[in-house]
Amino acid sequence: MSYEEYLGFFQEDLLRQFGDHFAVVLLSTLLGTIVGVGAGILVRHHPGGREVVLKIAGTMLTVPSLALYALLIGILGLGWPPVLLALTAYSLLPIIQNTIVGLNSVNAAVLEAARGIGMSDRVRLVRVELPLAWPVILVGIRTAAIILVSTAALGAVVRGPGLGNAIYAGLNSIGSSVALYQVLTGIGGVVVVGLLLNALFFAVARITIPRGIRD
Amino acid sequence: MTETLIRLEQLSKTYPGHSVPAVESLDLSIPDGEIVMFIGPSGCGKTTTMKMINRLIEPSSGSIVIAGEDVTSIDPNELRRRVGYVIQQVGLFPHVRVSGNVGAVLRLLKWPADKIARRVDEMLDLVGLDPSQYRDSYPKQLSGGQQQRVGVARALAADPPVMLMDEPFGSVDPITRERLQDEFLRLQREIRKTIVFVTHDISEALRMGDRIAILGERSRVEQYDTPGNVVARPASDFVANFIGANAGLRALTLMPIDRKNLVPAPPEREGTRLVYEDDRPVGWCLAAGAATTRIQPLRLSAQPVLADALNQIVSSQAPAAVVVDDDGRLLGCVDMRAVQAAVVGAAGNGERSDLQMEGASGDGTG
Repeated sequence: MSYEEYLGFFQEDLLRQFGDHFAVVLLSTLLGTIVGVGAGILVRHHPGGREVVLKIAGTMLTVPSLALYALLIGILGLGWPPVLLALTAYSLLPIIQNTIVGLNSVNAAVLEAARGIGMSDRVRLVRVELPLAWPVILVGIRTAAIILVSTAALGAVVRGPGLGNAIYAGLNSIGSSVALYQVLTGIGGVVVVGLLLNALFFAVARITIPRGIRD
Repeated sequence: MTETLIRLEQLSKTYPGHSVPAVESLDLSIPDGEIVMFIGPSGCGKTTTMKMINRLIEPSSGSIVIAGEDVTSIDPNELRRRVGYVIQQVGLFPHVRVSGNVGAVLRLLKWPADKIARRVDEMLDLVGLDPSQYRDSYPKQLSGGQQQRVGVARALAADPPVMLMDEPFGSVDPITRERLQDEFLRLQREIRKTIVFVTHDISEALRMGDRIAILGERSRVEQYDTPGNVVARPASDFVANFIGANAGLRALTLMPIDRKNLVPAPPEREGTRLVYEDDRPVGWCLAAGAATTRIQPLRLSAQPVLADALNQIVSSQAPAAVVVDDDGRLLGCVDMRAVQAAVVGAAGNGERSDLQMEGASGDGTG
Protein backbone atom coordinates (compact mmCIF):
# COMPACT_ATOMS: atom_id res chain seq x y z
CA MET A 1 0.00 0.00 0.00
CA SER A 2 1.23 3.52 -0.68
CA TYR A 3 1.09 6.26 1.86
CA GLU A 4 -1.71 8.06 0.04
CA GLU A 5 -3.73 4.87 0.02
CA TYR A 6 -3.07 4.40 3.69
CA LEU A 7 -4.20 7.93 4.48
CA GLY A 8 -7.33 7.54 2.38
CA PHE A 9 -8.19 4.34 4.23
CA PHE A 10 -7.50 5.56 7.78
CA GLN A 11 -8.42 9.21 7.32
CA GLU A 12 -11.48 9.18 9.54
CA ASP A 13 -9.72 7.33 12.34
CA LEU A 14 -6.68 9.57 12.21
CA LEU A 15 -8.65 12.79 12.25
CA ARG A 16 -10.71 11.55 15.18
CA GLN A 17 -7.59 10.55 17.06
CA PHE A 18 -6.02 13.92 16.28
CA GLY A 19 -9.07 15.77 17.62
CA ASP A 20 -9.28 13.52 20.69
CA HIS A 21 -5.60 13.98 21.42
CA PHE A 22 -5.93 17.75 21.29
CA ALA A 23 -9.09 17.65 23.40
CA VAL A 24 -7.77 15.36 26.13
CA VAL A 25 -4.63 17.48 26.52
CA LEU A 26 -6.63 20.72 26.66
CA LEU A 27 -9.17 19.34 29.06
CA SER A 28 -6.57 17.92 31.46
CA THR A 29 -4.61 21.15 31.27
CA LEU A 30 -7.74 23.08 32.13
CA LEU A 31 -8.51 20.82 35.09
CA GLY A 32 -4.89 20.98 36.17
CA THR A 33 -5.01 24.77 35.98
CA ILE A 34 -8.07 24.98 38.18
CA VAL A 35 -6.64 22.63 40.80
CA GLY A 36 -3.05 23.81 40.49
CA VAL A 37 -3.61 27.56 40.56
CA GLY A 38 -6.07 27.08 43.41
CA ALA A 39 -3.55 25.06 45.39
CA GLY A 40 -0.80 27.55 44.63
CA ILE A 41 -2.91 30.45 45.88
CA LEU A 42 -3.74 28.61 49.09
CA VAL A 43 -0.19 27.68 50.06
CA ARG A 44 1.82 30.61 48.71
CA HIS A 45 2.38 32.16 52.14
CA HIS A 46 2.83 28.91 54.08
CA PRO A 47 6.26 27.34 53.72
CA GLY A 48 5.02 24.08 55.29
CA GLY A 49 2.02 23.80 53.02
CA ARG A 50 4.15 24.67 50.01
CA GLU A 51 6.56 21.83 50.78
CA VAL A 52 3.76 19.29 51.09
CA VAL A 53 1.89 20.34 47.98
CA LEU A 54 4.97 20.54 45.78
CA LYS A 55 6.20 17.19 47.06
CA ILE A 56 2.90 15.49 46.25
CA ALA A 57 2.75 17.02 42.79
CA GLY A 58 6.36 16.11 42.16
CA THR A 59 5.89 12.53 43.29
CA MET A 60 2.93 12.09 41.00
CA LEU A 61 5.10 13.17 38.13
CA THR A 62 7.73 10.56 38.89
CA VAL A 63 5.28 7.68 38.67
CA PRO A 64 5.78 6.29 35.17
CA SER A 65 2.70 7.01 33.13
CA LEU A 66 2.23 3.42 32.07
CA ALA A 67 2.11 2.35 35.69
CA LEU A 68 -0.26 5.15 36.60
CA TYR A 69 -2.66 4.29 33.79
CA ALA A 70 -2.57 0.65 34.82
CA LEU A 71 -3.29 1.51 38.44
CA LEU A 72 -6.21 3.68 37.48
CA ILE A 73 -7.92 0.98 35.41
CA GLY A 74 -9.06 -0.56 38.63
CA ILE A 75 -10.84 2.60 39.76
CA LEU A 76 -11.88 4.23 36.55
CA GLY A 77 -11.95 1.54 33.92
CA LEU A 78 -10.70 2.04 30.40
CA GLY A 79 -10.87 4.92 27.93
CA TRP A 80 -11.03 8.64 28.73
CA PRO A 81 -11.38 8.67 32.57
CA PRO A 82 -8.04 7.17 33.63
CA VAL A 83 -6.19 9.15 30.98
CA LEU A 84 -7.85 12.40 32.01
CA LEU A 85 -7.08 11.86 35.67
CA ALA A 86 -3.50 10.79 35.08
CA LEU A 87 -2.80 13.71 32.75
CA THR A 88 -4.33 16.17 35.20
CA ALA A 89 -2.11 14.77 37.93
CA TYR A 90 0.96 15.19 35.71
CA SER A 91 0.12 18.77 34.90
CA LEU A 92 0.09 19.89 38.52
CA LEU A 93 3.75 20.34 39.35
CA PRO A 94 4.69 23.01 36.81
CA ILE A 95 1.38 24.82 37.32
CA ILE A 96 1.56 24.91 41.11
CA GLN A 97 5.25 25.77 41.08
CA ASN A 98 4.79 28.66 38.69
CA THR A 99 1.73 29.92 40.51
CA ILE A 100 3.64 30.11 43.77
CA VAL A 101 6.71 31.68 42.20
CA GLY A 102 4.64 34.11 40.12
CA LEU A 103 2.54 35.30 43.05
CA ASN A 104 5.48 35.61 45.39
CA SER A 105 7.56 37.62 42.99
CA VAL A 106 5.10 40.45 42.57
CA ASN A 107 6.89 43.74 43.29
CA ALA A 108 6.70 44.56 46.99
CA ALA A 109 6.13 48.27 46.41
CA VAL A 110 3.12 47.50 44.23
CA LEU A 111 1.68 45.28 46.95
CA GLU A 112 2.28 47.93 49.57
CA ALA A 113 0.60 50.55 47.43
CA ALA A 114 -2.36 48.22 46.93
CA ARG A 115 -2.69 47.75 50.68
CA GLY A 116 -2.18 51.45 51.26
CA ILE A 117 -5.09 52.49 49.09
CA GLY A 118 -7.42 50.20 50.99
CA MET A 119 -7.65 47.02 48.93
CA SER A 120 -8.71 44.01 50.98
CA ASP A 121 -6.60 40.85 50.65
CA ARG A 122 -9.07 39.23 48.27
CA VAL A 123 -9.43 42.27 46.02
CA ARG A 124 -5.68 42.63 45.95
CA LEU A 125 -5.26 38.99 44.92
CA VAL A 126 -7.73 39.29 42.08
CA ARG A 127 -6.92 42.76 40.78
CA VAL A 128 -3.19 43.00 41.39
CA GLU A 129 -1.40 39.77 42.30
CA LEU A 130 -2.97 37.33 39.85
CA PRO A 131 -2.78 39.66 36.84
CA LEU A 132 0.85 40.40 37.59
CA ALA A 133 1.69 36.73 38.21
CA TRP A 134 -0.25 35.62 35.14
CA PRO A 135 2.65 35.67 32.63
CA VAL A 136 4.62 33.29 34.85
CA ILE A 137 1.60 31.12 35.60
CA LEU A 138 0.83 30.90 31.89
CA VAL A 139 4.33 29.60 31.22
CA GLY A 140 3.71 26.90 33.83
CA ILE A 141 0.44 25.93 32.18
CA ARG A 142 2.08 25.81 28.78
CA THR A 143 4.92 23.64 30.10
CA ALA A 144 2.37 21.27 31.56
CA ALA A 145 0.47 21.10 28.29
CA ILE A 146 3.59 20.27 26.31
CA ILE A 147 4.46 17.48 28.74
CA LEU A 148 0.93 16.15 28.41
CA VAL A 149 1.09 16.00 24.62
CA SER A 150 3.54 13.13 24.60
CA THR A 151 2.32 11.54 27.82
CA ALA A 152 -1.15 11.32 26.37
CA ALA A 153 0.14 9.10 23.61
CA LEU A 154 0.78 6.34 26.12
CA GLY A 155 -2.87 6.43 27.09
CA ALA A 156 -3.51 4.09 24.22
CA VAL A 157 -2.41 1.28 26.48
CA VAL A 158 -5.69 1.67 28.38
CA ARG A 159 -7.69 2.32 25.21
CA GLY A 160 -7.54 6.01 25.87
CA PRO A 161 -8.12 8.72 23.28
CA GLY A 162 -5.60 10.14 20.88
CA LEU A 163 -2.87 9.42 18.38
CA GLY A 164 -1.22 6.95 20.69
CA ASN A 165 -3.65 4.48 19.22
CA ALA A 166 -2.13 4.84 15.77
CA ILE A 167 1.36 4.45 17.19
CA TYR A 168 0.40 1.39 19.22
CA ALA A 169 -1.44 -0.17 16.35
CA GLY A 170 1.66 0.26 14.26
CA LEU A 171 3.98 -1.16 16.92
CA ASN A 172 1.71 -4.12 17.48
CA SER A 173 1.70 -5.04 13.81
CA ILE A 174 5.37 -4.75 12.92
CA GLY A 175 5.94 -6.45 9.61
CA SER A 176 2.61 -5.48 8.10
CA SER A 177 2.59 -3.04 5.22
CA VAL A 178 1.07 -0.19 7.19
CA ALA A 179 2.93 -0.56 10.48
CA LEU A 180 5.49 2.07 9.62
CA TYR A 181 2.86 4.45 8.29
CA GLN A 182 0.88 4.08 11.50
CA VAL A 183 3.81 4.84 13.75
CA LEU A 184 5.15 7.74 11.72
CA THR A 185 1.75 9.33 11.21
CA GLY A 186 0.98 8.94 14.88
CA ILE A 187 4.22 10.61 15.86
CA GLY A 188 3.82 13.32 13.22
CA GLY A 189 0.32 14.01 14.44
CA VAL A 190 1.50 14.35 18.01
CA VAL A 191 4.12 16.85 16.90
CA VAL A 192 1.47 18.87 15.08
CA VAL A 193 -0.71 18.84 18.19
CA GLY A 194 2.26 20.23 20.08
CA LEU A 195 2.83 22.97 17.51
CA LEU A 196 -0.82 23.96 17.53
CA LEU A 197 -0.82 24.13 21.29
CA ASN A 198 2.21 26.39 21.22
CA ALA A 199 0.44 28.68 18.80
CA LEU A 200 -2.65 28.66 20.99
CA PHE A 201 -0.66 29.65 24.07
CA PHE A 202 1.07 32.38 22.13
CA ALA A 203 -2.29 33.79 21.16
CA VAL A 204 -3.62 33.51 24.71
CA ALA A 205 -0.57 35.37 26.00
CA ARG A 206 -1.01 38.11 23.45
CA ILE A 207 -4.64 38.55 24.34
CA THR A 208 -4.49 38.26 28.12
CA ILE A 209 -1.24 39.99 29.04
CA PRO A 210 -1.55 43.80 29.04
CA ARG A 211 1.03 45.84 27.19
CA GLY A 212 2.19 47.38 30.43
CA ILE A 213 3.76 44.14 31.59
CA ARG A 214 4.68 42.58 28.29
CA ASP A 215 8.43 42.24 27.92
CA MET B 1 -4.98 78.50 66.44
CA THR B 2 -5.36 75.83 63.80
CA GLU B 3 -7.52 72.89 64.69
CA THR B 4 -5.92 69.53 65.29
CA LEU B 5 -6.86 66.99 62.66
CA ILE B 6 -4.81 63.99 63.73
CA ARG B 7 -4.02 63.12 67.30
CA LEU B 8 -1.64 60.34 68.19
CA GLU B 9 -2.18 59.31 71.80
CA GLN B 10 0.37 57.20 73.64
CA LEU B 11 1.07 55.38 70.41
CA SER B 12 3.41 52.43 70.79
CA LYS B 13 4.73 49.63 68.64
CA THR B 14 6.82 46.73 69.82
CA TYR B 15 7.59 44.04 67.30
CA PRO B 16 7.18 40.45 68.53
CA GLY B 17 10.45 39.03 69.71
CA HIS B 18 11.93 42.46 70.37
CA SER B 19 12.40 43.70 73.92
CA VAL B 20 12.75 47.35 72.94
CA PRO B 21 9.78 49.18 71.39
CA ALA B 22 10.20 50.70 67.96
CA VAL B 23 7.85 53.51 68.95
CA GLU B 24 7.27 54.32 72.59
CA SER B 25 4.22 56.17 73.93
CA LEU B 26 4.17 58.87 71.30
CA ASP B 27 1.91 61.87 71.79
CA LEU B 28 1.58 64.18 68.83
CA SER B 29 -1.03 66.53 67.40
CA ILE B 30 -1.05 67.29 63.70
CA PRO B 31 -2.84 70.52 62.79
CA ASP B 32 -5.41 70.70 60.02
CA GLY B 33 -4.11 71.81 56.63
CA GLU B 34 -0.43 71.68 57.52
CA ILE B 35 2.54 69.67 56.35
CA VAL B 36 4.24 68.01 59.31
CA MET B 37 7.64 66.53 58.56
CA PHE B 38 8.82 63.49 60.47
CA ILE B 39 12.59 63.41 60.46
CA GLY B 40 15.19 61.59 62.46
CA PRO B 41 18.10 59.19 62.20
CA SER B 42 17.65 55.75 60.62
CA GLY B 43 15.75 53.39 62.83
CA CYS B 44 14.12 56.10 64.93
CA GLY B 45 10.69 54.82 63.95
CA LYS B 46 9.48 57.69 61.79
CA THR B 47 8.16 55.47 59.01
CA THR B 48 6.70 53.03 61.53
CA THR B 49 4.87 55.89 63.22
CA MET B 50 3.52 57.18 59.94
CA LYS B 51 2.34 53.74 58.91
CA MET B 52 0.43 53.41 62.15
CA ILE B 53 -1.72 56.34 61.12
CA ASN B 54 -3.24 54.30 58.30
CA ARG B 55 -2.64 51.09 60.22
CA LEU B 56 -0.46 49.43 57.66
CA ILE B 57 1.37 48.69 60.85
CA GLU B 58 -1.02 48.01 63.70
CA PRO B 59 -0.13 49.80 66.94
CA SER B 60 0.67 47.66 69.96
CA SER B 61 -1.11 50.17 72.13
CA GLY B 62 -2.37 53.72 72.09
CA SER B 63 -4.84 55.35 69.75
CA ILE B 64 -5.15 57.38 66.59
CA VAL B 65 -7.87 59.99 66.33
CA ILE B 66 -8.63 61.59 62.98
CA ALA B 67 -11.11 64.48 62.85
CA GLY B 68 -12.48 63.47 66.21
CA GLU B 69 -13.00 59.84 65.21
CA ASP B 70 -11.04 57.11 66.96
CA VAL B 71 -9.80 55.02 64.05
CA THR B 72 -7.68 52.60 66.00
CA SER B 73 -10.14 49.74 65.74
CA ILE B 74 -12.24 50.40 62.65
CA ASP B 75 -11.87 48.36 59.45
CA PRO B 76 -8.35 49.19 58.28
CA ASN B 77 -9.21 48.99 54.58
CA GLU B 78 -12.04 51.45 55.05
CA LEU B 79 -9.64 53.78 56.85
CA ARG B 80 -7.02 53.53 54.11
CA ARG B 81 -9.51 54.55 51.46
CA ARG B 82 -9.81 57.85 53.30
CA VAL B 83 -6.07 58.40 53.66
CA GLY B 84 -3.84 59.19 50.72
CA TYR B 85 -0.62 57.16 50.66
CA VAL B 86 2.47 57.95 48.60
CA ILE B 87 5.66 55.91 48.86
CA GLN B 88 9.19 56.37 47.61
CA GLN B 89 9.12 53.58 45.05
CA VAL B 90 5.72 54.87 43.88
CA GLY B 91 4.18 51.40 43.47
CA LEU B 92 2.05 52.11 40.42
CA PHE B 93 0.20 49.07 39.09
CA PRO B 94 2.26 48.18 36.01
CA HIS B 95 -0.48 46.16 34.34
CA VAL B 96 -2.93 49.06 34.41
CA ARG B 97 -2.89 52.34 32.52
CA VAL B 98 -2.38 55.71 34.20
CA SER B 99 -6.15 56.26 34.24
CA GLY B 100 -6.64 52.94 36.00
CA ASN B 101 -3.98 53.76 38.53
CA VAL B 102 -5.33 57.20 39.36
CA GLY B 103 -8.86 55.86 39.55
CA ALA B 104 -7.95 52.82 41.67
CA VAL B 105 -9.38 54.10 44.97
CA LEU B 106 -12.45 55.50 43.23
CA ARG B 107 -13.16 52.07 41.81
CA LEU B 108 -12.89 50.61 45.33
CA LEU B 109 -15.37 53.26 46.45
CA LYS B 110 -17.67 52.15 43.63
CA TRP B 111 -17.89 55.46 41.85
CA PRO B 112 -19.65 55.34 38.46
CA ALA B 113 -17.31 55.04 35.49
CA ASP B 114 -17.98 58.44 33.98
CA LYS B 115 -17.40 60.18 37.30
CA ILE B 116 -14.13 58.30 37.67
CA ALA B 117 -13.01 59.33 34.19
CA ARG B 118 -13.72 63.00 34.87
CA ARG B 119 -11.97 62.91 38.22
CA VAL B 120 -8.92 61.14 36.73
CA ASP B 121 -8.50 63.91 34.17
CA GLU B 122 -8.92 66.52 36.89
CA MET B 123 -6.22 64.91 39.02
CA LEU B 124 -3.80 64.54 36.12
CA ASP B 125 -4.22 68.24 35.37
CA LEU B 126 -3.61 69.02 39.02
CA VAL B 127 -0.25 67.25 39.04
CA GLY B 128 0.84 68.76 35.77
CA LEU B 129 0.28 65.85 33.38
CA ASP B 130 -1.77 66.49 30.24
CA PRO B 131 -4.63 63.98 30.49
CA SER B 132 -5.01 63.53 26.73
CA GLN B 133 -1.37 62.59 26.52
CA TYR B 134 -0.93 60.50 29.63
CA ARG B 135 -4.19 58.91 30.68
CA ASP B 136 -3.73 55.88 28.41
CA SER B 137 -0.04 55.39 29.03
CA TYR B 138 1.35 52.52 31.02
CA PRO B 139 3.62 53.25 34.00
CA LYS B 140 6.66 51.79 32.27
CA GLN B 141 6.36 54.46 29.58
CA LEU B 142 6.81 57.25 32.14
CA SER B 143 9.89 58.77 33.73
CA GLY B 144 10.46 58.48 37.48
CA GLY B 145 9.22 62.00 38.09
CA GLN B 146 6.10 61.43 36.00
CA GLN B 147 5.38 58.17 37.79
CA GLN B 148 5.50 59.89 41.15
CA ARG B 149 3.13 62.60 39.89
CA VAL B 150 0.72 59.81 39.00
CA GLY B 151 1.30 58.39 42.48
CA VAL B 152 0.33 61.70 44.02
CA ALA B 153 -2.70 61.97 41.73
CA ARG B 154 -3.78 58.51 42.80
CA ALA B 155 -3.48 59.47 46.45
CA LEU B 156 -5.50 62.65 45.96
CA ALA B 157 -8.24 61.19 43.77
CA ALA B 158 -10.73 60.42 46.53
CA ASP B 159 -10.06 63.83 48.11
CA PRO B 160 -8.87 62.40 51.43
CA PRO B 161 -8.39 64.89 54.25
CA VAL B 162 -5.11 63.24 55.24
CA MET B 163 -2.08 62.28 53.17
CA LEU B 164 0.83 60.15 54.25
CA MET B 165 4.01 60.53 52.23
CA ASP B 166 7.05 58.34 52.84
CA GLU B 167 10.10 59.98 51.22
CA PRO B 168 8.04 60.44 48.05
CA PHE B 169 10.69 62.34 46.12
CA GLY B 170 13.59 60.24 47.32
CA SER B 171 14.13 58.16 44.23
CA VAL B 172 14.43 60.91 41.64
CA ASP B 173 17.42 63.05 40.76
CA PRO B 174 17.98 66.26 42.78
CA ILE B 175 16.82 68.59 40.00
CA THR B 176 13.57 66.73 39.48
CA ARG B 177 13.17 66.47 43.23
CA GLU B 178 13.36 70.22 43.67
CA ARG B 179 10.83 70.74 40.89
CA LEU B 180 8.47 68.19 42.41
CA GLN B 181 8.86 69.85 45.82
CA ASP B 182 8.08 73.28 44.34
CA GLU B 183 5.05 72.00 42.50
CA PHE B 184 3.83 70.10 45.51
CA LEU B 185 4.08 73.20 47.69
CA ARG B 186 2.15 75.14 45.09
CA LEU B 187 -0.46 72.39 44.98
CA GLN B 188 -0.70 72.35 48.75
CA ARG B 189 -1.40 76.08 48.79
CA GLU B 190 -4.47 75.28 46.68
CA ILE B 191 -5.73 72.11 48.32
CA ARG B 192 -4.55 72.52 51.91
CA LYS B 193 -4.39 68.85 52.86
CA THR B 194 -3.16 67.63 56.22
CA ILE B 195 0.08 65.86 55.40
CA VAL B 196 2.50 63.71 57.34
CA PHE B 197 5.73 63.63 55.37
CA VAL B 198 8.63 61.37 56.31
CA THR B 199 12.08 62.39 55.18
CA HIS B 200 15.68 61.89 56.15
CA ASP B 201 16.77 65.08 54.37
CA ILE B 202 16.89 68.08 56.70
CA SER B 203 16.87 70.50 53.79
CA GLU B 204 13.68 68.96 52.48
CA ALA B 205 12.19 69.14 55.96
CA LEU B 206 13.04 72.80 56.37
CA ARG B 207 11.79 73.62 52.90
CA MET B 208 8.51 71.71 52.87
CA GLY B 209 7.37 71.61 56.47
CA ASP B 210 4.99 73.91 58.23
CA ARG B 211 6.14 72.03 61.30
CA ILE B 212 8.94 69.59 61.88
CA ALA B 213 8.94 66.72 64.36
CA ILE B 214 12.49 65.66 65.07
CA LEU B 215 12.31 62.10 66.30
CA GLY B 216 14.95 60.32 68.27
CA GLU B 217 15.23 56.75 69.49
CA ARG B 218 11.87 54.97 69.77
CA SER B 219 10.31 57.97 68.04
CA ARG B 220 10.84 60.13 71.09
CA VAL B 221 9.91 63.68 70.09
CA GLU B 222 13.09 65.71 70.48
CA GLN B 223 11.50 68.86 69.10
CA TYR B 224 8.23 69.67 67.39
CA ASP B 225 8.19 73.19 66.04
CA THR B 226 8.30 75.43 63.00
CA PRO B 227 11.41 75.16 60.83
CA GLY B 228 12.53 78.62 61.92
CA ASN B 229 12.41 77.73 65.58
CA VAL B 230 14.04 74.36 65.10
CA VAL B 231 17.00 76.01 63.41
CA ALA B 232 17.29 79.07 65.62
CA ARG B 233 16.35 77.51 68.95
CA PRO B 234 17.22 73.80 68.91
CA ALA B 235 15.74 72.11 71.96
CA SER B 236 18.73 69.87 72.59
CA ASP B 237 22.20 68.91 71.41
CA PHE B 238 20.59 66.06 69.51
CA VAL B 239 18.54 68.52 67.48
CA ALA B 240 21.43 70.92 66.99
CA ASN B 241 23.64 68.09 65.74
CA PHE B 242 20.88 66.91 63.50
CA ILE B 243 20.42 70.31 61.90
CA GLY B 244 24.09 70.32 61.27
CA ALA B 245 26.89 72.83 61.12
CA ASN B 246 25.28 75.20 58.65
CA ALA B 247 22.43 76.19 60.92
CA GLY B 248 23.14 79.86 60.39
CA LEU B 249 23.01 79.60 56.60
CA ARG B 250 19.98 77.36 56.73
CA ALA B 251 18.19 79.91 58.87
CA LEU B 252 18.63 82.47 56.12
CA THR B 253 16.74 80.31 53.65
CA LEU B 254 13.75 80.42 55.94
CA MET B 255 13.59 84.12 56.71
CA PRO B 256 11.61 86.24 54.25
CA ILE B 257 12.89 89.74 53.57
CA ASP B 258 10.76 92.22 55.39
CA ARG B 259 10.53 95.97 54.84
CA LYS B 260 12.11 96.35 58.25
CA ASN B 261 15.29 94.67 56.93
CA LEU B 262 15.65 97.36 54.27
CA VAL B 263 18.05 100.30 54.45
CA PRO B 264 18.38 103.15 51.95
CA ALA B 265 20.80 102.71 49.05
CA PRO B 266 24.36 103.32 50.23
CA PRO B 267 25.87 106.65 49.11
CA GLU B 268 28.76 106.57 46.65
CA ARG B 269 31.94 105.45 48.37
CA GLU B 270 35.38 104.99 46.77
CA GLY B 271 33.76 104.76 43.37
CA THR B 272 31.19 102.16 44.36
CA ARG B 273 27.65 103.25 43.62
CA LEU B 274 24.28 101.93 42.57
CA VAL B 275 23.58 102.41 38.88
CA TYR B 276 20.14 103.42 37.63
CA GLU B 277 18.52 103.25 34.23
CA ASP B 278 15.21 104.97 33.71
CA ASP B 279 14.96 105.59 37.46
CA ARG B 280 15.30 101.89 38.14
CA PRO B 281 18.36 100.21 39.76
CA VAL B 282 20.05 97.80 37.36
CA GLY B 283 23.47 97.19 38.78
CA TRP B 284 26.56 98.48 40.53
CA CYS B 285 29.58 100.36 39.51
CA LEU B 286 32.19 98.73 41.72
CA ALA B 287 35.13 101.03 41.12
CA ALA B 288 35.69 104.41 39.53
CA GLY B 289 35.40 104.05 35.77
CA ALA B 290 34.46 100.35 35.91
CA ALA B 291 31.69 98.94 33.77
CA THR B 292 28.33 98.31 35.41
CA THR B 293 27.98 94.93 37.06
CA ARG B 294 24.37 94.05 36.32
CA ILE B 295 22.21 92.38 38.94
CA GLN B 296 18.75 90.88 39.08
CA PRO B 297 17.05 92.98 41.80
CA LEU B 298 14.84 91.05 44.20
CA ARG B 299 11.13 91.76 43.78
CA LEU B 300 9.60 92.04 47.22
CA SER B 301 6.27 90.64 46.03
CA ALA B 302 8.04 87.39 45.04
CA GLN B 303 8.76 86.80 48.73
CA PRO B 304 12.54 86.52 48.55
CA VAL B 305 14.41 85.27 51.60
CA LEU B 306 17.54 86.59 53.25
CA ALA B 307 19.51 83.79 51.63
CA ASP B 308 18.64 85.33 48.26
CA ALA B 309 20.00 88.65 49.50
CA LEU B 310 23.20 87.03 50.73
CA ASN B 311 23.53 85.23 47.42
CA GLN B 312 23.25 88.48 45.50
CA ILE B 313 25.79 90.23 47.72
CA VAL B 314 28.29 87.43 47.37
CA SER B 315 27.94 86.94 43.62
CA SER B 316 27.85 90.60 42.63
CA GLN B 317 30.58 91.63 45.10
CA ALA B 318 28.38 94.61 45.90
CA PRO B 319 27.91 96.06 49.36
CA ALA B 320 24.20 95.18 49.48
CA ALA B 321 21.36 93.36 47.74
CA VAL B 322 18.77 95.47 45.94
CA VAL B 323 15.04 95.07 46.56
CA VAL B 324 12.48 96.59 44.20
CA ASP B 325 8.73 96.80 43.80
CA ASP B 326 6.74 95.31 40.93
CA ASP B 327 7.56 98.35 38.85
CA GLY B 328 11.28 97.83 39.28
CA ARG B 329 11.70 100.88 41.46
CA LEU B 330 13.99 100.81 44.48
CA LEU B 331 12.38 99.90 47.80
CA GLY B 332 15.64 99.57 49.69
CA CYS B 333 18.79 97.51 50.17
CA VAL B 334 19.74 94.62 52.38
CA ASP B 335 23.34 94.88 53.52
CA MET B 336 25.52 92.32 55.33
CA ARG B 337 24.83 93.91 58.68
CA ALA B 338 21.10 93.33 58.21
CA VAL B 339 21.73 89.69 57.25
CA GLN B 340 23.92 89.05 60.29
CA ALA B 341 21.51 90.78 62.64
CA ALA B 342 18.67 88.62 61.39
CA VAL B 343 20.57 85.38 62.04
CA VAL B 344 21.78 86.37 65.45
CA GLY B 345 18.53 87.97 66.55
CA ALA B 346 15.16 86.34 67.09
CA ALA B 347 14.41 83.89 64.27
CA GLY B 348 10.98 82.57 63.35
CA ASN B 349 9.65 86.08 62.80
CA GLY B 350 7.05 85.56 65.50
CA GLU B 351 4.99 83.38 63.12
CA ARG B 352 2.99 80.66 64.75
CA SER B 353 4.11 81.54 68.19
CA ASP B 354 0.80 79.95 69.05
CA LEU B 355 2.74 76.70 68.88
CA GLN B 356 4.63 77.76 71.97
CA MET B 357 1.35 77.63 73.82
CA GLU B 358 1.19 73.90 73.16
CA GLY B 359 3.53 73.05 76.01
CA ALA B 360 6.54 75.21 76.67
CA SER B 361 8.97 72.40 75.88
CA GLY B 362 7.65 72.26 72.33
CA ASP B 363 7.08 68.54 72.49
CA GLY B 364 3.77 68.81 70.72
CA THR B 365 1.56 67.51 73.50
CA GLY B 366 -1.80 69.13 74.07
